[in-house]
Amino acid sequence: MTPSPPADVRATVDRIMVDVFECDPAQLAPEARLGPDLGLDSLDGVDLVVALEKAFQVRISEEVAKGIKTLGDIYAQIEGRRGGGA
Amino acid sequence: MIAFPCEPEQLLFHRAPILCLDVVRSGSAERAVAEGAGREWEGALIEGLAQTAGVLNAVDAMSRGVRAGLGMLVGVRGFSIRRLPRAGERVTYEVALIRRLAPLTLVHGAARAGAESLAEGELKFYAGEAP
Repeated sequence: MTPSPPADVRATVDRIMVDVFECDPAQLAPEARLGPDLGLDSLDGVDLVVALEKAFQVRISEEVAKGIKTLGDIYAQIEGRRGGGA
Repeated sequence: MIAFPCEPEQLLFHRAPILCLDVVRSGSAERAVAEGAGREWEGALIEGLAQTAGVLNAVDAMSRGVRAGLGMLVGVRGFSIRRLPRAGERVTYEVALIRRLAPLTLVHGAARAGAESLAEGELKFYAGEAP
């Protein structure tokens, strides 16, 4: 079972998904896929990375960014970086 | 490598009449500055900045030892135009990299006439590599 992300990480990521990408709040679940479920397209990836980096003051590499498929992946990556991950 | 200033045709596929740049003053993978004659049309300001972003991507490709492929402006956000240039007025286009996530590049672009700001905003650019 995937551990729950800290509430502040989840709240901030979810706010970005709603405010920037106009996602339906009811669809925001860790297993939600960014494209098929939340409606992001191939052009949104760079905007998502910039929004996350700005909100959390972290750096997300291109390799890591390409591996993000679900909202849960974002929660995990942000939490890992805030905990001192690369 | 390219020596600056240079002709934009050395870095871009664009040709007259769509080419908005007359000279590229400087270019790196993170910043590019070019100049062109102003056209009294909002789209030309955006196109001039898009072409300057093309310079940035071309220099980036060269620095990685690959040839730049065709690029395309795919997004504009927060773009404001304070005034249009007069026809023939010298316009300076400057773009600065915000983030590159291949094949997409996000830049901040600003167009000026002398010290006066004409327009600025974010542009998203698709840049493929040549086959």
